[in-house]
Amino acid sequence: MPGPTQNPIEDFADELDGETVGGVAIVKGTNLRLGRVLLLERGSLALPSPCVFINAEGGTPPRGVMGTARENDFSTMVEVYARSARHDYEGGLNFARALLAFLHHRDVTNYVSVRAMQSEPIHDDENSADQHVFLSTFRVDYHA
Amino acid sequence: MPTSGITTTVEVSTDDSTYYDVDGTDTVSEDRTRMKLMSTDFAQSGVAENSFAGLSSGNFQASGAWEGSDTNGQVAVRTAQSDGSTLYVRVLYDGTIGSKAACKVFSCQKNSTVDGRVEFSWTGDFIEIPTDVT
Repeated sequence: MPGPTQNPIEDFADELDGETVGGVAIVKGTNLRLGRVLLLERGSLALPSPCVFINAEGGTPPRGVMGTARENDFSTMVEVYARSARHDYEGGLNFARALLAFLHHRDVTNYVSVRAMQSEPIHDDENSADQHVFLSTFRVDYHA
Repeated sequence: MPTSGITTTVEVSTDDSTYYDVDGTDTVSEDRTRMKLMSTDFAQSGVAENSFAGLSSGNFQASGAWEGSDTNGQVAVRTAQSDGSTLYVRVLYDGTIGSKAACKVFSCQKNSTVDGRVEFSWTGDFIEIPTDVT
């Protein structure tokens, strides 16, 4: 099956939805958002704090294996942004670290592995709403 | 027209009748050799080397990622190594044309790295002269 058959953004969101991470109850559509359109805009103020955004970042080319099924190994990069409340660097960092610990090496159905690409979240920036943004990138592998 | 490796299939059979894909295969190679026998006396000068053909030999070598659920493919290879049974190997380089031979699997390896796949590689040595599949 040529694939890609999985949607890592949706699957990551489903994995986090309903969980409490770093003391934060995560609810998809509320403080868990797909993409990052609102992350850097002032519209971000309308969302709860802290908030998590999930974005896909391409990954490496599919690695085909021989055989009539034309199967492939897919390797995708998934970005997880943790956004703090206004002027709350420490709260944002702690939330980002909790997310990293929650997702690194997590056993997610239909995936071979989920691995953090950094040992600590990266302080990405402070957005125009004075909220701190931390980024953790994960390499997500699956076979289809 | 040149062919692409993605079209290659590696198949095995225990009865030379029904063949199954060896899943997860990344690479395969076929090595057909024949022993070179020398018939030239030593220390001759001005004489060309003289040799003649000995017995045919060779093997298929394949590697990829381990899939323990591939009962009729990878597991069959492991079984053939364990019990010394004959394994029929067929490699079709463009999915249609290739080679096949009865083989004995004298070696298979699994290698695991913490950040990578579990690699699986094996060698099937010919016990007959391989034939072309067309």
